[in-house]
This record gives sequence, C-alpha cells and structure tokens, in this order.
Amino acid sequence: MSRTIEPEGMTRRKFLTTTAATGCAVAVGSGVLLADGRFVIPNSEGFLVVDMKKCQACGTCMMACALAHTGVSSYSLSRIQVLQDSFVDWPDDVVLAQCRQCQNAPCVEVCPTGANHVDREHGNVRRVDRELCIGCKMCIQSCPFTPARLQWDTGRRKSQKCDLCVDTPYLDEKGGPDGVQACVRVCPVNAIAFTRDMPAQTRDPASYSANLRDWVWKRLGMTTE
Amino acid sequence: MTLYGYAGTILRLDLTARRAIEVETARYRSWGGGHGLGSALFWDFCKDKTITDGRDPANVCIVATSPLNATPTPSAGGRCEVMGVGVGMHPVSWFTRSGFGGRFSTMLKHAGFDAIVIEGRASSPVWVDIRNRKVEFHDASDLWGTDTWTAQKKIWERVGAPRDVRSGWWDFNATAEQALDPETDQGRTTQRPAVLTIGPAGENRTAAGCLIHDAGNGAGQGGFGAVWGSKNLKAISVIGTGEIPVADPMALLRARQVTKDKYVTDIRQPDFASWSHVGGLPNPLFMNPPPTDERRPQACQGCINGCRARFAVGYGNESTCQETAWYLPAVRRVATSVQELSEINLRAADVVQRYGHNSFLFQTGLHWLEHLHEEGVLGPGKAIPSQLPWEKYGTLEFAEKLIHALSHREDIGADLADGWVQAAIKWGREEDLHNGNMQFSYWGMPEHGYDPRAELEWGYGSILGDRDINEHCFNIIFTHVTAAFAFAKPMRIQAQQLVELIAEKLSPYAVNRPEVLDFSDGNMYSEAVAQLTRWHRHYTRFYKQSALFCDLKWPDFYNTNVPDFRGATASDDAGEQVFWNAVTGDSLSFEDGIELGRRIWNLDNAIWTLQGRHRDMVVYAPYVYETRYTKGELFPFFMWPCRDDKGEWQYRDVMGRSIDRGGFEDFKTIFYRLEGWDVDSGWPTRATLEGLDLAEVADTLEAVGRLGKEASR
Amino acid sequence: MTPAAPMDVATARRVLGRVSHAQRFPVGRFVPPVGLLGSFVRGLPELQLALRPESRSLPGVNMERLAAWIEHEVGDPTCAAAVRGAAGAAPSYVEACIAVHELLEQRLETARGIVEAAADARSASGSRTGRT
Repeated sequence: MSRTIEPEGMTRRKFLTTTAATGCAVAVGSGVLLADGRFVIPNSEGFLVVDMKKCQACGTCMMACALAHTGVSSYSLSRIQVLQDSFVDWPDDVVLAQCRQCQNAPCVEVCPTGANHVDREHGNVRRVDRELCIGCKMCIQSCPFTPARLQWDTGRRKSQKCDLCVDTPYLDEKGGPDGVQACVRVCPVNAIAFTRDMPAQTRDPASYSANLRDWVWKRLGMTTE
Repeated sequence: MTLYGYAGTILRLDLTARRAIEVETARYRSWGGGHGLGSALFWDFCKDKTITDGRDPANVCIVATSPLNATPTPSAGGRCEVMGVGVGMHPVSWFTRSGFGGRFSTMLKHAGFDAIVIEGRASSPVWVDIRNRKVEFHDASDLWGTDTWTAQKKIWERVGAPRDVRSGWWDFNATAEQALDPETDQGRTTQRPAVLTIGPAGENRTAAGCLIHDAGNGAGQGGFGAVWGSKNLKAISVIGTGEIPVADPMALLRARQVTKDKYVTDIRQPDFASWSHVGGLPNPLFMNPPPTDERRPQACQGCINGCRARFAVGYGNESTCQETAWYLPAVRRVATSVQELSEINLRAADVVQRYGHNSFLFQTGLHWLEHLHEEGVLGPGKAIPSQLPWEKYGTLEFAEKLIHALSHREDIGADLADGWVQAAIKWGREEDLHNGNMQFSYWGMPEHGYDPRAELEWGYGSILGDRDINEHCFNIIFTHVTAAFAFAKPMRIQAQQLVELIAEKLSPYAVNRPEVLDFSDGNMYSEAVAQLTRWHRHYTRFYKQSALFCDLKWPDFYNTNVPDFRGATASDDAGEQVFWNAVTGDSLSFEDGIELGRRIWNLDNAIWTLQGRHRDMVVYAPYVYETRYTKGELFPFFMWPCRDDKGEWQYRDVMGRSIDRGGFEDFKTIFYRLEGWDVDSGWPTRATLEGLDLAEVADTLEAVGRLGKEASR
Repeated sequence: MTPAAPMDVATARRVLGRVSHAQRFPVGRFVPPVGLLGSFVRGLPELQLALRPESRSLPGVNMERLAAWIEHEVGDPTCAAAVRGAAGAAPSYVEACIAVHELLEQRLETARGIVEAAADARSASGSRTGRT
C-alpha cells in the first residue's frame, strides 16, 4: 500500500529564504542562494548513465551496491534500482533507476540539516552524511523522479543515496568520481557507465540513457539501434 | 550468534491446518542450504518415508535457498532447490529434486525465510502470501484453472504490487504511524513479488506438472506441480525488504570481480570460442534462431552471463534450452521458413510455460507418440484411441491441443498423466522400451541427449541416483571437443592436457588421476570411472544443489581465458569455496564441500532405501543394453578423451556401443564398495552413516530391517 | 550435376513430397546444453530446414547414408550424387552441411518451378479444351 509522507517543519529553502531577505547572495552549506531565490550548487564531476535496452536484469549491481556500502545483501538498500516485469516485452520490461546527481539537486536543497550535501572533496557528489541525517525523509520526497532515487534505510532510520561509491568501506578499490563505482565494475554486460559529461538536465529518463551496445552486442545477435 | 548468509528462519506451512510455523535455521546449519537443508527437513518432517507417490498427503515438499542466494556470487545468486517424493517415475517415484532460477530464492530470503516446508493438504485451493515474515493463507478458488502467467499477474494485483515497472517505491506500511515506529516499519521496495505457481498440469495432478515462476523459470523434473496440486496449493508469493548479513563483503566483492576480470572473457574484446564454463558471454540458449535482434539477455539474480531473453515480438520471453525445442522436430513437418520454424517453436514454449507442463517429457517422448501414430497404433479408432488432430502435427494448434489434453488428463493424457512408461505398459508397448522406439532411459524419464552408452558419468549418475541428473559438469567436454571437430578447428586444449587440468580439481577421490575420464570401451566399468562418478555425485549434491551454483556455469575445470587454462573451480581466488566462506564466515576447504556432499548423498540414499530401493532395481531401460547407440543417427560422432592402446590420450568417438549388463553390475559393486554401502543391497551401512554423523539415520534403517551389512574385512 | 539440372515432373514431385514413415531418415541436432536431439525427416523440404546453418546448434546427419536415402527413398539419384560430391569435397563436417543445405535449396527451387510450370500448362490446356 502506498502512502505519502508529508514533510514537517522548516525546509532549508524556507530557512535560507528567510535569512536571505536582505537581497544578497548568501553562501550556505553546499550551495549559494541567489537573490532571486535560486539555489545554486556546483556541478557534480561524475554521473552514472545506463543502457536499459542492454541490462540483463540480474540485479548484481543492486547486490554489489548494498554490500559495498553497508556490508549486507539488500535490494531495498541499493542506491541503484533495477525494476523488471517478466510479462512485458523488451525494451519496456526493465527500468534502471539511478541517482542523477542533479545539477540543481532538490534533495540537497530541502535537507534541513545539511546532511544531504555536496561533497567538494569528492567531485561535488551529492551525498548524505549519516551523522547529520535526522531521518525526516524530505530528501526522498523531494526527488522529482519515479522511483525516487534516494532510499529509506528502515533499520538505521536514515536516508541514503548514490555517492558514486565515495563511502564504500567494503569495496577494496578506491571509489568515487576519481575511482570506481561498484555497479559499473560488477555489471556483467557493461550496461552502466560512468561519465564526467553532465547529461541533459531534463525530467526525461532518456537523458541519462546511453547506448552502450557495441560490435560485440551486434555479433551476439542483438540490436545496437 | 549471527548466521551469515542466512535469513535465520525456516517456514513450515501446514496446509491442513492453514498454519505457519517457524523453525530456526540454526538447527539445520550443518547441512549448508538447498538440497542438504531440504533432505534434512524431509527426514525430520515427512513421517512416512515409505511413500512412493508424491501425491500422497504424507509427502513433504521443500523449497530451499542457499546462503549464496541474494548475493553476487557468480551464477549462484538466484537458483532455488525443490525436493520431495516425485510423481510418475518408474518403477518408483523416488525422493527427488528439481531446481529453478529467477528471483524467488532471493526474495524469499529478503522476506525472512531460508526454506519453506510444505506439509499436509488444504481442504480447498489456497495460495500463500509471504511478506516480511508475515504469512497469510488465501482462498485460491478463482485462481484454480488459470494458467501460470495469469495466476502470477492476479496475485501481484492482490498483493498490492506497483502497477508497472515505472511505478515508484512500494511502501509496505499500512499507516504512517507504522512507518514511523522503528519496531513496526516494514520498509519499501521497488521489486515485484516473486510468485511460484502451478498451472493446469499441476492442478490436475499430472506427472508433467511443473512449478513456474515469472515467465520462464520452472522446476520441471519430479512432478512437483502435481505435488502442489494434490495439496491444493496454487501458488506462493514472496516479497520482502529485509537484509542478509554477509561475513566478509569485501572478500565476496573481490572474488566476484576476479571472476569477471580473470575467468570471464572480456566483453569488450571477447574470445567468442573460449573453452570455459563460467567464462562465456550472455548468450541465450535458444534451439532455434532468435525471432528478432530486438531483445535483451535476461538472467537469474546474480548471474554472470544470462542464458535467456526477452523479445520485442511478444512471445518466447524467458524460455530457454529444452522448452524452445520440445516441438522442433514436429514443426519442421509444416514450417516453410526458418522464421516460421522459430515462431511456432517459441509460441509452443509459451504454451508449456502457461500450462505448467514439463516439456522434457517430449525430448524423446514426442517421437514415440508420432511413431505410434504413424504405425497406425494411435489415433481415432485405433488401439490407443486419440481424437487429437494428428493431421495438424507440427502446427501451433496441435501443440496447444496436445498440451491441453495432457494437462487435463484428456485423450491420451488420461494415461500419460501418471507416467509415460506406465502408459506404455498399459498400452502393451513394452517392446518399445527394448527396441529403443521409446528412449526413457532412467526411472521412467526420457534420455537427455547425452546417451548413457556414450557419456558414462551422465548415465551412471542418473541411474545410481533418482533422476536424469541434468548436470553438465563434465558434459562440457563433449560440447567443446565435438563442436571443434565438426568445424575441423584446432583443439583449444589437447586431450592429455585437458584431462590433467580437470583431474587437478577432482580432490579427493580422483585428484590427479586423469584415467577417471577415460571413457573408452576398456575403461567403462572400472574403479577409475566409479571414482569419477562418486566425485560427481558428491560435488553436485553440495556445490550445485545445496550451495546452488548454476549447473550451466559451474564447475569451471578448464578455462582458455586464463593463460594457464586452469579454471575457477576450487581456485584460491574465485573457487566455489571462496564465495561460500566470504558469505558464511566458514573456513570450508573445497574438499570439505565434497565431503558435505557425500553426507547429503548418503542421507538421500537412506531415504531411497526406506522407500524400497534395492540394487536389483538400479537398472537402465532395456534398450540401453539391447541396442547400440547408432553412429550417425543423431550426430556423426560423440567425442571424448580416451586413452589408446599405447596409453596415449586422444579425442575419440564413443558412439556405436551398448552397456553390458554384467559390466554394469560389476560397476555397481565397485561403486557401492567405494561408497561404503552394502554391495548386495546398495543400502548404507552403519559404519558409513556414523562416519558422517548420521547415527540416527542408521538407527532408523536398522529398526525397519534395511540397514546395509558391513563389508567383511 | 548441378542442383538446377533438369528433372522430369515426376522427379520434381518426389523432391517436394514426403516418403512414408517407414522410409523416414534420422536427423539429429546438436544443441548444447540440451544435447543431441533426435528426430526424423520424411522429405527434402524438411531436410533443408533441418540442415539450416545456425550459430547455436548444428545439424546431425550421416552424409553417406543421406545420399543413399535421397537416391533410393526419395528417388532423386541426381541430387544424391550431388550430395555425395558436395559432402566429400567439404573440408569439415559443418561445411558439408552448409554445402548440402545450399544444394537442396536450389534443388527444391528447381523442382518447384517445374511443378508450377506443369500446373500452368495443365491449366492452359484445360482452358483451351473448355474444361473448368
């Protein structure tokens, strides 16, 4: 059964809007609030793009993601979600839902504690600092995409999101924008890729889709169109 | 104490009382998971182990996961094991097994359970909803009669799953208050429930009844669909948001990465013809040309290279392997193009998936039916009456009518429903079991395609066990070598090197004894081949059927993606035991796993013994002895490593021979002796059982006078 | 002989027809991992489909016996000789199958042309005599 969780209290935007009433740009936490009310944060230096026509829906990326970050096997704790319907035809049978590291990240903007922030030490990745997270779920609610690209950690009562593997204590390789990402590394068919080029910032899911099918795919008898 | 790799709880479903009972997994931890877990649960919860028909209400059916399920262990994350007394085998339906892939085992663990023990019989049709350890029995009257796909979709609706894949998170909480309380918060998922269900073939308790999950995952062998049908159980739905503890996540991820980087051919620049088991590319196992290039490979959870597909054309999704070819010889009678051939075959695959009908029976059975029809024995007004439209044999219409009839016990289905060999006997066609017109080689089930007269380990393993083994551990030798011969390509690995590479991995019984792989005429009934057979039984019972490494990817004995050709199996960096230990925290050696497999295999034999097994029953169908495996009839050659007269290894053709009755009897004696079983009866002995910490099993056998006598020293 | 070599109408009909079940010819298929699938064919159209080249499986046929079957059961000695020749010249079993497949394709096409021409001639003849 679905339900909506209403945010409570003051959002960071409200807070910032109040404090910026003098008309100046105010630097706050992850970003800058301009006089016209726009909240500006530096662009992420890395993004995940996916090929939904290529994915074999094995869920290995989900397992690896949860393990690398939290050390347990869990789909609900995976920062990348693979949704599939066995009774739907290709290509509509599979959806990959990964965080888009949005240019104007609403999840960062709404966080009332600064837990959801831009990590300037790690390529401006949008991350949740678990120490600061109060579990209000506002970031989850603010995500404009379906499904929301942030997850609720039921056991720990915190929000979480993709950090491009900056904080992966169970991965024995360096993660983050300058390292590897568990989902990219583990994908058997290379249906997930890391890029430094920011995809188009639209609501269209296709803007974070890439055609990762190459001559090998063709040779295996599958379309590269 | 944390049980790494386990959900921690086993679910008993008492269908008679419609009651769910929880059992701690810790009690069964020593059995590992999957088959071992299931055999132990069967031993404890099946109160009458003399039953020989799985439809008996005393039968207990177990659906079991492995610690490796729901983990990225390569091609072990999504398999699931089913056990219980089977249906329709001949002369006895043994305690047997089947397996299936997909998402069910993964989701069952996330829902909080390591296994389900299905007991009793519901008074009317039910389906079971399992959600985060909450179990509900629901009336299934209106689902009864629906096909497997319709049933699953209806259950998704009833469970309240998101409408489609573009839906958002599914919050399990009924109220906001429930979500806010850490003690009651049920969490969220984007996933759909995994449903395991039967179709009409199972509902009508036919031996062909399968368990089907999603579009194309099926537990086909054993007639477990009939077992569920007899229990009035239509389906089990599982969904969960839980997490499974892993002992050493870093080691697990590292080993997975080693598998991809070292043992699997590089998908960016692959060797399309590599010789490996785990190291191939995602390549659906169709038996016909795919109908379109608009498709994806589709995989079980955690698989390293998927073997199925979903298409854009609206048929054939997730069917693979035998079900895509069950109707092939018939379709050729009518198809006028390859496109038509492919479409009818894949649509026929959809038919068996939806009816939940085991297509494997047609592997050799369809030829037999056609033969009876063409000989004027079967048809309208014939000795075996049938009103099926035989003049349309090969069309989709005929396939649908045939499967409908067989699934509903109509027409010839009335007799075939309780077993094909039983039907042959009823129809007075025993001669067909002698002359090879009906090639049902082991326990009333069809020959697989790897004839026991040529591929010895397949035949021995099947007849010494409970079913056609369907284990491709060594069979891949035949595939690689025979294909290379057919193309006249150089061998990637020469015979001597190949057998030595494999023998390195055959610890303990056959380690560095390459002669165990010599299938030449002079070595067919040898101690060496018996050791190979033992190793194979024990390896598969643990690693393949309990740890649930996929049959199509493991073991990886040799691997041309690696410079020294040594495969991943038993290796220190990505061997089976590496994954097991990373997940569970055990310190299992590869040989420890083989020994655990021996323990499970012995418990199985104890169950078969209680069911009435005796060595005199362990015989092939008569044609295996009485006719030769005709050269050129199926293929021009069947290549296998053999030693020549000078003891030198070569790839040679092993077609053209039969099994010698006396030779096989001698082989059984050797095998039983090596296993520590009574050579006269084939029953386990007390010494053997006690050596495996199974003294209670020995007591039970002794109490009913079926304990094997010890070998005289 | 070439597969397009002329044949009479009766031969063409045999090429396109089916022999009895008793005259059937065994043709397998090597389909890893399922195994060696057994089956039979009762005519050249079926045989041609059975020999189709395919990346995932191989046809299973005894070429020597096949030529004899085409000669004696189907009744096309010309085609049988061509099959013998093509199979014998091929450097591998797979290439033999491909060669025979192509040969059969042409032979069937030739036969279809002859049967259609005969039907057209009969039809035209029927029109001239006023039969309908």
